[in-house]
Amino acid sequence: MNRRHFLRLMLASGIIISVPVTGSLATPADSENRFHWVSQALTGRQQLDPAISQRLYALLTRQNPLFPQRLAQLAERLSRVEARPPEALLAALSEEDVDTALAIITPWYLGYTGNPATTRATDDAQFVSFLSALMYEPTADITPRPSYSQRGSDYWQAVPDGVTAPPMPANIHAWGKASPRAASSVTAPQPAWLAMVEGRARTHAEALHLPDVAEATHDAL
Amino acid sequence: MTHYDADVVIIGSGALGANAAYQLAKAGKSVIMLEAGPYIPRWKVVDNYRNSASKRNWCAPYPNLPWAPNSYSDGYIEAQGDEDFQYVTSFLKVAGGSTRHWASACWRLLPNDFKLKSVYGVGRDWPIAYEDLEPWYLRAEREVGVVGCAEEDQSGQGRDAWPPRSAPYPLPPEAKPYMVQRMQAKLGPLGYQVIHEPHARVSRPYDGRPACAGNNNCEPVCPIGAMYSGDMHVDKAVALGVDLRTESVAWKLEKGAKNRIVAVHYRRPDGRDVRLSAKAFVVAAHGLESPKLLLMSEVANSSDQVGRNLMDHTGLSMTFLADEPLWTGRGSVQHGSIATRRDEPSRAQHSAIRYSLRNLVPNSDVTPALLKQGLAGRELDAAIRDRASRIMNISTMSETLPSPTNRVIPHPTRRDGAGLPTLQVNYQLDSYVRGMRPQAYRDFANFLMAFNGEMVEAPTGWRNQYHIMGTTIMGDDPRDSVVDAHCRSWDHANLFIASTGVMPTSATVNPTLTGIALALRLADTLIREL
Repeated sequence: MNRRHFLRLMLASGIIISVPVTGSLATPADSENRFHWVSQALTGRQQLDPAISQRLYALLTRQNPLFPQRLAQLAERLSRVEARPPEALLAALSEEDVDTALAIITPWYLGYTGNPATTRATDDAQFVSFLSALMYEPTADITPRPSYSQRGSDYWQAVPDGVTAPPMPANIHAWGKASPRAASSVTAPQPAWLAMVEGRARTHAEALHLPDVAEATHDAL
Repeated sequence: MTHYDADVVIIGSGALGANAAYQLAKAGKSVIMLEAGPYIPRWKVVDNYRNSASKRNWCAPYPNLPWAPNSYSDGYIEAQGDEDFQYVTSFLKVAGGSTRHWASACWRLLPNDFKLKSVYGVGRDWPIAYEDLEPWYLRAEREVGVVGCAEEDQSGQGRDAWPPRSAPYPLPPEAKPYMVQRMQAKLGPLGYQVIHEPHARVSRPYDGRPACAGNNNCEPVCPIGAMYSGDMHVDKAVALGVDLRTESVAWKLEKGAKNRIVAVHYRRPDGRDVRLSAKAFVVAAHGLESPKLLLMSEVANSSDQVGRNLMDHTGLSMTFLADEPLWTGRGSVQHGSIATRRDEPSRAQHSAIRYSLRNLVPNSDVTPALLKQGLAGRELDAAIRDRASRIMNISTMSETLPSPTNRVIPHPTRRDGAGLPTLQVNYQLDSYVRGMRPQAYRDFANFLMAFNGEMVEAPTGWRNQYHIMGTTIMGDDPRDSVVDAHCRSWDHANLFIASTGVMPTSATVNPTLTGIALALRLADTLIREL
């Protein structure tokens, strides 16, 4: 992780400069409260669950005995934000501080620490939270936090809130005979998209610059 | 008169074994059903899931015990094969079996899928035709509550309704998600048939189950029991008096006079062994475990085909960002399918393909990468929302052919917690399935173009779909098949196999419905004979 990049993003998103800090309350002396304060500052949330905060602090400390020390250093530097112009913060936070910040933000968003395995029974992942995992918040108005949707059957047919659907045939909702018919033959693919499928480019613009694609595209014109 | 512990002992309590047990019990037969794993109620699995760190691990919320290890247990399956492909599969050992964590696609095979050799000159034919199995397909659909659209050409050729049906689906299709509407609107004009995928997530209340509410949690567990899972028939069977014995690991079928199977031996967690006699035995212990049991018992293998001909729908998977919000994750974990390549003349040269549209709530897929990029605060939230709205995954279900060298055997040296052999698998991809790659690439390129996509994961690597077939293969010749058209062992008149392992062709559709239909048919045979 690039430290400057991270800090710029933090500043750009208004988190760091919006940290509400007042006097000695700004950096509580005891570690657990300090962790809660730093968590709220870094996630830009004022309503994090203190019980989860406590659990996560214990977990991170167990995983890295140096964590309390690094947390104290990060908290101390964050607490000086108001006193300094944001640019000065760029210089004040070390690479280690940034790593510590990411170690705190990541489980708050994902709801776990470590790397969960998808096809093995054992891994180093540790549960932090499900109902409070922040990654579900930005989409909560559209998709369920998987397990209970509370929206009822068939809600998924409607155009999602906030989406302007491109024009579609009126019968697009239907399955079966009433549904629009597909074209009778399949279109031949274009070289640039094929190159992406082959893993040779990530974007269409990149693919167009591949020599063989450029040549084929030129020939086709 | 000979005393038997039961009319029938069924080894395995998954969807196939439990359906057979239920039918036999309804007909008044005494049945003992053995299950290696424990019984775990739905609420407990949901609770485990919600408290698990590994939510994309679909075995994690289920018990994984030393005497009943699931497929993800370290070292339980030792797989050998190709350099560019690691054989992985996913199964549970609990009452109700692996349908407890499936997504419940319930396709019928097509008539041509039963006669691949005659029509396309590759693979094998079944000893039965589609028409022979059709009545049991219908019964299976009614047992599990299949939601489907009978008007569509499921062979993907845009013709009339196919395959033929003797009655409508028990339940009407669910609403079509916005994402699928967009797929159809963009891909239809390019020539792709986007059709309904039949499944067992009931669209209306059915058989005591509530309608699917789109919890998007089919895998690893439907929290409300709208989706069918094998434990539903375990419960029904037990209510009719079937003796379910959990944590009872079958390890030997005992042969007696006239080549009949006279007993099964099972082991309890404390190491105690129990012997059960019965008039007939049904092995329904999963596509890898059933052949293992037969091989350990040295039965049913005069053809030397037990454990061989292992097939999956090994294929390719592409993840991309569309240039518009599609919002996967609204509804179940999959809806609809692209069936265009399911039954084309190219099946003579290479694997058929069916494309599966993934519909997961993708937050846990998109967020880790954004965190690694160092995004935080409102930027992070905005990026999660943006990516989650646009990410899309399409994968192939590719047809593999039965090859005797693709096989499972009891591991020669490794033992599980019950002291029984673990599994050893050899699985390689032949030119038939590899040969579909150029076709899949052309289609993937069109899908990408339709949505002006940005690649997240190119479809360059192979992966299994965890559909196991072929390992106790059915045929009309005892020299090259394990069971006959009625799922009866050629070698032992009172031994039957209820497994997708009997399927001689893999086609491109999830095999469970076919397995249940065959299990119901097998039960009818037993009811007639006992």
